Amino acid sequence: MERWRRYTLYFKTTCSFFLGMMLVLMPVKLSMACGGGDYEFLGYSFLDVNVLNKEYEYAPYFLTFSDLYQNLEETKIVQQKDNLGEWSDIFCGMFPKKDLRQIIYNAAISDLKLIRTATAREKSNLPARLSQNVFARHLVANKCVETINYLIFTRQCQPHVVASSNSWEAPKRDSVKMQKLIEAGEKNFKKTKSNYIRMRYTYQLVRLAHYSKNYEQVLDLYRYLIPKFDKQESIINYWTLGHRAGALRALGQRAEAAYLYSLIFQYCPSKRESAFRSFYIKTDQEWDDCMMLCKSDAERATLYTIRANAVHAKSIEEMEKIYKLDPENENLELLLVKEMMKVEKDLLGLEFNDKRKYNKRNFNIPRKDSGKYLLRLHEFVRKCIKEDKVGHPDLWAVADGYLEFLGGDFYAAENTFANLRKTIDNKPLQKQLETFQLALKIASMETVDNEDEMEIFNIIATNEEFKSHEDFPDFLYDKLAKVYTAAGEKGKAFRCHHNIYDLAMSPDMEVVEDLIEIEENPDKNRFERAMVADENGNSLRNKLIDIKGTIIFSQFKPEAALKILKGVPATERKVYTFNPFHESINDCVHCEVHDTVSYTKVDLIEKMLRLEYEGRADLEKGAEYFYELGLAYYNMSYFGNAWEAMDYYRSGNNWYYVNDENIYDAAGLFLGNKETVNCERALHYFETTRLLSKSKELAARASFMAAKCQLNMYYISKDCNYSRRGNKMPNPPEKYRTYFNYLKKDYADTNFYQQAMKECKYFRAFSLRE
Amino acid sequence: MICCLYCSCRHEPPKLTTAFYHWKTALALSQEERTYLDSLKSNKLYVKFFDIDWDAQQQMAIPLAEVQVAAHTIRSLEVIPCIFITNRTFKQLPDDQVEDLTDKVLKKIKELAQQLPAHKINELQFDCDWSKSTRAIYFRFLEVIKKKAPEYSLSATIRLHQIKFANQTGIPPVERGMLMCYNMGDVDKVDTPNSIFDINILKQYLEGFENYTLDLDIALPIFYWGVLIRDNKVIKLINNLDSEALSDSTLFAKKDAIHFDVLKSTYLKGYYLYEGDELRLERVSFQDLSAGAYLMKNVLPQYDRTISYYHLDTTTIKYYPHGKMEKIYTIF
Repeated sequence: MERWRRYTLYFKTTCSFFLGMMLVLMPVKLSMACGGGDYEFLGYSFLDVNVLNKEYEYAPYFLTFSDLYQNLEETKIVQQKDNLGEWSDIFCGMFPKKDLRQIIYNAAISDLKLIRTATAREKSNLPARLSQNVFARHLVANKCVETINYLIFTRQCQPHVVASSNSWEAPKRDSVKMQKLIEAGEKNFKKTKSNYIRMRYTYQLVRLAHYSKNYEQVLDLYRYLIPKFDKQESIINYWTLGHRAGALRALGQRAEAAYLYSLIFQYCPSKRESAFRSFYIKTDQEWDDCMMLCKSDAERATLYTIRANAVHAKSIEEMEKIYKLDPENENLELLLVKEMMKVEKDLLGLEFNDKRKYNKRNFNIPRKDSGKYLLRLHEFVRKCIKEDKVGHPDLWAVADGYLEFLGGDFYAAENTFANLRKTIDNKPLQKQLETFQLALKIASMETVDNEDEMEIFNIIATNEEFKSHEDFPDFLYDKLAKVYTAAGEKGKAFRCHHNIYDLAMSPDMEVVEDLIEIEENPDKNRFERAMVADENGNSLRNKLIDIKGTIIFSQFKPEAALKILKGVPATERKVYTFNPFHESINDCVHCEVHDTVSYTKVDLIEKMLRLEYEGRADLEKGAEYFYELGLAYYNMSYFGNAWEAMDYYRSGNNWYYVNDENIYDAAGLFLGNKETVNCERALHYFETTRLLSKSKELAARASFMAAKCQLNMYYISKDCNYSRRGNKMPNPPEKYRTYFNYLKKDYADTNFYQQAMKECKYFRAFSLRE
Repeated sequence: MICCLYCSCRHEPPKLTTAFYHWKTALALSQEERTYLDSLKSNKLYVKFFDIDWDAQQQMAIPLAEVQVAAHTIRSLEVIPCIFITNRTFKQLPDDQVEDLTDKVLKKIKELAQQLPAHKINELQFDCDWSKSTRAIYFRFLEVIKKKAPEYSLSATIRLHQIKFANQTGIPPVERGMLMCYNMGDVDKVDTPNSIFDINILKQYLEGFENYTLDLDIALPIFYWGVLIRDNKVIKLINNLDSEALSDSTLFAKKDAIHFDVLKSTYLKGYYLYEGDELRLERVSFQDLSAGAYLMKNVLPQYDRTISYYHLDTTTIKYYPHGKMEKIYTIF
């Protein structure tokens, strides 16, 4: 899968083995929420198509069935290549392909006529652009007028038979001109002595008739011209046959057309794709008729092969038919691999794949009755093994083991693989067995102890199979996550899918404490050490302690947080540049605050505890200290400029999606982002200030800030029906207006009141409205 | 006052025109189809001229499935060319290619219109299920078409939800809208009872008509199909499939009026079905069509409009005889 591909690349290019281990432990995950792009199935595959005989020319048509026959441009290139190859063969490979291409495909009619003129002269006087072409010189020297005339004729046909490269341009077919060309072509055909050129004329004429929709004429021309030259092996025979099949199909003779297409599919790679597309059977009767036209079991097997290749086909049915007809048919093995891939997609790692719901929702995978389908396929495979008629029994034996594995019979699969290891000498199959055995080993894990973890570490570090298959890391960590979760090891389970960044964004105390415990264990094994280390191999201890302390601080337990955060050595503590004690009438998270100070979290909490102590001790100035604490708690929340004291990530956009759980989607954050929106602590200190303050000005300030806290509490409450996207003024219920009412009622004569009226539009509007 | 009352008494009822859609590439009406049109006094045909889709390889919008017209079969009919444009085309189309696309579209329409007996067209209809993200570019496309071809009246197809949520989806800058009263349910869901037409779904969408600023014509469904389900997943729609085609009890088992199981693998209308497949038949009953027409009539402002049927096909005529179709007409 993509993310592992990225990992592998990074690993190979930049990382030491240990660093690679870290990266494996901290997968680089792509966001599902942002970035768009097409959905793709998220599972695992260990089937390697190299187990198939590389000589199988059909393989590309079977094994890329998901995007089968999509690339038309590529098809054109294949056709051109095959055609040039044939021209080259005719001339015993005497000419460079580029010279052939220039004359056969690119030369203008005028140039071809110049070549023809040159053949009639004593001395060749080709223009420079042609005189360099070895093929052109050969045509002149050998006076190959028939070939040149044929090429001129193809150029004349071209506008009528080749689609314009501009899709918006109407085809330039002119049926009158096409008929004239057919007449001229027939005359040329008769004058031509070369069998090869006669065969090519036949193709051109049949094609012209087909494209001019004179289907009867296609059949007539075919019947008339074909017997007039000696049959020879050529792709052109099949190209011509394709037009005959097209005409038959247009005339409703679908069974015969389908039969011809099946021959083209079978014997002509350059037209295999179009034959597959054109193969069409409408009824059971037509299928039977088509079968009757077949001259051998191999031809009949091809019909089943084509049908089995349709999108959504349940090919086991066709496999059984092919086996009956021709057990050694190579297509049977291709279909076997294709069907195993489907079953693998359905069932491999289904119990622990963390994307199974996504796969079901988006792709309906696993398919309904996939278990039954596996059983039917497995039964068929066993029958083939037992009867021993298939071409490559070893492949079927390996398939047997893999189907046992996919069916959940790990014990039987293990035995099958072990026995096959002793007997199989085919290298790709041996490699495939090793892959299956490793996958089986991982899938079989039920518990993981210290020894197992050491073994897993070694697999990741040294196992070639593991390294060479991009799906192994995901397979392993999905399985481990399942096992660790079942064992209650939340930290380890978390690290199988997430990095420390995910944890900071959406902290989970149990995970943090579990990981700290692992980190502090002096006897931790290498695998555990990797789990609590960053991508550079450095311990995550300080980060984990910082996260734990920050969680506790955000729960408004500064003493406990301080104790934890002091666990980070002073020199390692992050220094923040902000001023949580800054007073601001209007919230502005990103505005520059001039009186910023540098704090570590420890410094900040110590200062806050000092203020708390002094506030309690000094009855005269206590209110001022509590006001500062209120400001600090307010500014450290989502709404203030010092939010970093209690959080690791903040997004202004989340404000539009405020929800009860307070978890927000964010690109790259797989557990989402939790925001620190709670203003209760700040409100508590502002209320205390208001009650204790002997200064009316300070009480007014505290009331105003308390009102802001209340408004924020309204925004995040279920009572809120305010649209954050509009520019309307919020209208909170009375219970959220207590402090604005105090301010208006009790402090309207203060300077601060006037200042707030001036600077805060909402407050002004609120005051004037009430 | 008296004068006003007098005037209002003289108001003629809104004029209704019956029309049909033709959505195949070969436009060659059969004698049966012509007779059907004549019996319903319908001489207006919305003809799909071509589709436009985005070609990822060429990185451009391309025309597909161009219509081929047998002119002698449509003599005396008014043809309104329809162009279906996939939403992904507008998702992919760069802003600076809109002008170029409109030129190509107009040129292609004129080329294809050469096949028509009268060679003359008065109206163009664009069919695109635009979304929030494509609204701006689609509407701009329509505006440019209107500017470049003022000789045509423009119409666009409108989906039901685009009326109810008009403030979000917008109203296309055209002269008229053709409200498509079909394809209401989720065809991909295995348990959808009828994705073509569902009176309960229709009821949910009958809002916002009074504020909709575009005059609306109505398109009602008279087509049917079979939904092929394999491994609990909808994989294919088989056009014009009815229970008659599934009457061989050795091949198909009827579960209820619309659900069938495939008992034995078989070819059906050119598609190979495997044992274990399921089929769901979907067709709009005349009763549902009438009920839908009543509901629509009650919410639609009264003005001249076209009542069109999707789509004209010899095989569908048997289910919608002209006698019954005339009753639909009278409802409006």
